[in-house]
Amino acid sequence: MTLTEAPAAARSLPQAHTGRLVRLEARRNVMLLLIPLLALLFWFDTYRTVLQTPPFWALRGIVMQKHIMLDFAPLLAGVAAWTGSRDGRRGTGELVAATSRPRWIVQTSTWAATTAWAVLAYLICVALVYGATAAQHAPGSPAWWPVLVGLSCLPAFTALAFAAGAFFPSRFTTPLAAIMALLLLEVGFRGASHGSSPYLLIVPLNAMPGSTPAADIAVFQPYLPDLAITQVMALAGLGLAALAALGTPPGAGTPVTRRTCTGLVVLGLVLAGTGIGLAGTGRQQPTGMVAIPALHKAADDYEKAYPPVCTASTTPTCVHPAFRKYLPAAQAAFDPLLRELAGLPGAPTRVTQTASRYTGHPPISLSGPAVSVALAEAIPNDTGRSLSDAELSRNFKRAFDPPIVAAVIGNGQGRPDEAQAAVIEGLLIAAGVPQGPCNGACVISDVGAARPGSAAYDAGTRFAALPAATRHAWLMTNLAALRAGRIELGQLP
Amino acid sequence: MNVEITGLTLRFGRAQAVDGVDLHAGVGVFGLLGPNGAGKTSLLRMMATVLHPSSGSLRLLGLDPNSYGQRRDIRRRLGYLPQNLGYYPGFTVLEFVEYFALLKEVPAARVPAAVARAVERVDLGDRARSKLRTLSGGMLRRVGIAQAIVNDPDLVLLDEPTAGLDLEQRIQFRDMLCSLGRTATVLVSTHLVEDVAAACGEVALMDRGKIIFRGTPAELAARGEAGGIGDAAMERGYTSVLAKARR
Amino acid sequence: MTSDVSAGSGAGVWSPVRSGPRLLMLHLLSRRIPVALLGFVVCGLALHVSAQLGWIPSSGLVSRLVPLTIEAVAAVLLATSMRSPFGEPEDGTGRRIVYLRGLAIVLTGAAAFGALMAGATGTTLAQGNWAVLRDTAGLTGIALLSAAAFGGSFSWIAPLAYLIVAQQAINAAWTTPWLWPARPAHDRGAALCAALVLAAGIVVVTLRGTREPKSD
Repeated sequence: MTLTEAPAAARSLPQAHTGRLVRLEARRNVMLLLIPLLALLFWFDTYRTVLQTPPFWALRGIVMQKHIMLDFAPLLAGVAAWTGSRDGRRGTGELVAATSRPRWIVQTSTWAATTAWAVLAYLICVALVYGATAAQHAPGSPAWWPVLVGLSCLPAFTALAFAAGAFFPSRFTTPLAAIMALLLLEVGFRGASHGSSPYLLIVPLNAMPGSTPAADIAVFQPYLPDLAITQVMALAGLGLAALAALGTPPGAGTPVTRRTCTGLVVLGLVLAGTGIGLAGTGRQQPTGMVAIPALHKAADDYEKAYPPVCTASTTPTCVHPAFRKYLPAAQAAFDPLLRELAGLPGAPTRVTQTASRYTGHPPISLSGPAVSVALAEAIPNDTGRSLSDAELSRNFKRAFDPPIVAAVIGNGQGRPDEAQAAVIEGLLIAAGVPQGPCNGACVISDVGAARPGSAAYDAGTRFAALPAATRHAWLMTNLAALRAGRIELGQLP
Repeated sequence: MNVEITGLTLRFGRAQAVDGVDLHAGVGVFGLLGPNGAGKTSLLRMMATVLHPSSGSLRLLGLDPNSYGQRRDIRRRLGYLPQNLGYYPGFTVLEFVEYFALLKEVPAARVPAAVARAVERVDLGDRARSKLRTLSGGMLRRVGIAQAIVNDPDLVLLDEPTAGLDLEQRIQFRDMLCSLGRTATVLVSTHLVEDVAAACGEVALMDRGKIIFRGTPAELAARGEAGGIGDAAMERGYTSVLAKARR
Repeated sequence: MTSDVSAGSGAGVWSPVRSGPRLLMLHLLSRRIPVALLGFVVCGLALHVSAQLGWIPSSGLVSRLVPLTIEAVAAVLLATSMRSPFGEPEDGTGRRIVYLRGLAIVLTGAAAFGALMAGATGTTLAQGNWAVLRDTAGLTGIALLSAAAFGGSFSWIAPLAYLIVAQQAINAAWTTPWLWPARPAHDRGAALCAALVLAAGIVVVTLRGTREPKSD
C-alpha cells in the first residue's frame, strides 16, 4: 500500500496541509529581506513625522495612516508581484501544475505567507507609534479606525500585486506594480486634499480631506468612522476580487470552485464599487471628519461632555481637559489683554476653547461677552519638537488677541478707522502681542490694526506707552465715541 | 494497465508533435527513446496531465484525466520530473521536497518520513539542509527525482533524469529505477541507450511524433544486426530502426 | 570538414562593421528593449497628457510628484531591461559584452530622456524641462545602482525609497543637493549630484552587469 492509497481516515485535513504550506512559504519569503528597508523608511518618515505632532490619539492616528501606508504599500506591492510571478520566472509552473493540490490554494498560501509578514511588520510599527504616544500621556484612548484601514490596505495591495504577478510574470510587472501603487496613493491623496473629486477620498491615505488636521480632531466630537468604513469596504472588495481571480483560470480548481471564484470576483468588485460610490457622497463636516450619508449615524453628531479646566483669573480662560497642559500658555496669552479690556463695554467675560472648524469658519467666535477660540488651530503640529509655553503663548496671542481687541474697540462694520486702528495697535503692543512675521506655521489674524510706519501706528505706540491705568481710564471715557467713529487720530493721548 | 493510450495526437499550430501514438504499459520500467524533437517530452507532458491532447484517448491508472476529480486523483499518485527542472533557490533540499509532498497531498503526518526517505534514496542525505542555490547541476537533478518519488507514486514520468549525473550516480539511479518498477509504472525518456538497456524491461522508439518500435531492449539490439551505426548493440539497433523509418 | 568560422577565410572573420550592428541588435532584443522603448513612449505621453489635462498643478507637492513618478517609471524600465537572461554563459564571453552593456545603457537612456523631454515639451511644468532631465538622470542612476546591488528585477526598490524620501524633502524644503527633486531646476549642485549618480550607475552596470539574485 503506497502513501497515497492510505484510507481516507488516515489523510489529514486540507487545512493541515495548507497551514504547513503557509509556514514553509513564510520561512523562505523574500519579504524578510525587505523588512530592514521598511524599518528604515518607517523610522525616517512615519515615526519622526508622527512624533512631531502633539500627542493626541486621533491626530497621530490620522497622520500615521497617511505616512505608513505610503512607506509600506508600494514596496509590499512590488514584493507581492515578485512572489506572484515566481512560478513563471523559475520555470516551476508545470511542476506545480502536475500536483494534485488546486493551484489557487497553492497561490493563496504563498500570498498569505507574504502578507502575514507585511501585516506583522505593520502592527509592530503601529505598536511603536501608539506606545510612544501612550508614553507621552496622550488623553483619551487610541484611535483604532486608522489602524483598521491599514490592516485592510496592506492585504488588498499585496493581493492585487500578487495576482498581477501571477497572471503577467514579466520582468516589468514587479517594478510597475510598485510604482503604480505609489502613484495611486499619492495622486489620490493629493487630489482629495485639493477637493478634485470626493471619490478620491477612498484612497486609504485619507482619513479626512486636506493635510494634517488640528490637534483637537475628534477630541470634542467622536471620531467619525464613515470614511474608514467605506475604505475598508473598498479595499476588502478589491483584495477579495484579486484573490478570487486566481481561482478562475482553467485548471485552478474544480468547476464548482472556479464558478465560486468567479462569483467572488463579482462580489468583490461590487463591494469595492459600493465603497467607492459611498465615498463619493462623503462631505466634510465642520468638525473636519467626513460623513457618508448612507452610513452616518446622527447619534455620532454630538459634542462629548467634558468638565472644562479653567484659570482662576477674573476673566477666566477655559480649555478642554485634554488640552490642560496648554492652559498656562493660554493664560499667559489672554490675561494681559483681558486686564486691559476689563470693565469696558463689550469686553469678554470668559474665553473658552472650542473645536476647530474645517468649513471656512474663523478660529475665533465672538458672541457678546463670550469668546470661543479654536485653540488647536494655533498649535503647530509639525515643528519637530515640543513648543515651550512662551512660544505657544506667542502663537495664541498672534491668532486670537487681535480679533478680541477689534471686537471691543471696532464698530463691527468692516475695517477700523485710523483712530480705532491706532488704539487696537496700542492695546496689542501693551498686551505683548508679537509684532512682525513669525517663523514657521502660525496663525496671524489681520484685523486692520495700524501698519508700522503709519501715523496711526505711531499714535498706537504712544498709546501703548501710557500707564495702564491712564489707558484704561481713557477707554472707559471715550470708547463709545471711538466705536462711533467720532474720535480723530489727533485726539488720542 | 496503468497507462492506456490510443491514437493520441498533439498539435502546436501546424506542427504535429505527437501523431497517433498507441501505448499500453503496466507495472515496470518503460524506456522512451528518440532523437530531439521526436515528441517524447510532449508525450510525457500529456501523461503528466499538464498538456491537453489534441485528440485520442488517454487513461492513466484507470482514470480519465479529462475529469477534474479523476485528474486530481491521478496527480496524487503521479511523480513527474520535467526536462527543465525549475526550483526555488532559497529553499533547502528538504523544504523543496516537503513542498511537493504537501502539494501532492501526502498525509501531513507522513510527510517528514516520506521526505527523509526520498532524500536518502537519491543520496542527498548529507546535503538535506543545503540551499538549492548551492547545489551542482547533478545534485539539483537528484532533488528533482526526490520530489518525483516523495509520494510513493504508482506512475512515474522521468524526462532526462540522468542529465548531469556522474557514472556512479547513474548506476545508483538504475538500481532505484528497478526498485520503483517493481510496484509502479515508470516511464523514462532519455538519450542514453545504456540506461535503457540496463534498467528498462520494455522500450519504445519515437520519431516525428510516432512510435516506430516497441519491444524489449534485446529486440531493439537485434535490429542492429541488419546494419546500423554505433559502438554498442543498442546503438546500432537504434540507428537501424530510425534509418528504416525514415526511408 | 572545417567550418567557415575556423577556416580563417575572409568570409569568416568577425567584422565590427558588418557584425557589430547585428550583435548590438541581438543584445538589445535579448533585453526586451523594444518593450522598454514602448514604455518610454507611454511615459512621455503620460507626462504630456497629465500636464495638458491639468492633473499637474503649477505649484505644490503634486506639481513635483507626478512628473517624478513618471520619470521613476522610465528609470526603472531602463534598469530592469539591463537584466541579462543568460547569466554566466554571457558573462564569460569576453570584452564585447562590456561594450554592449555600455552601448545599450546609453542608447536606451537617450531614448528614455528623449521620450520624456518630448512629453514635457509644450507643457508648463512647474520646474521646466531642465528639471525633467536632471531628475530622470538621477533616478536612472539610482535604478542602475539598485539593479547592480539587488538584481535587475529589484531595480525599483531604491528609486521607490528615494521617491518617498524626496517627498519629505520637497515638503520640508531641504537643501541638500543629493535630494535634487527638492532643489530648483537650475541648481548646479543638484545637477552635479544627479549626474554623478547617473555616471556611477552607468559605470557599474557596464562593467559588472546587473546582479542576479540566487534567492527567491
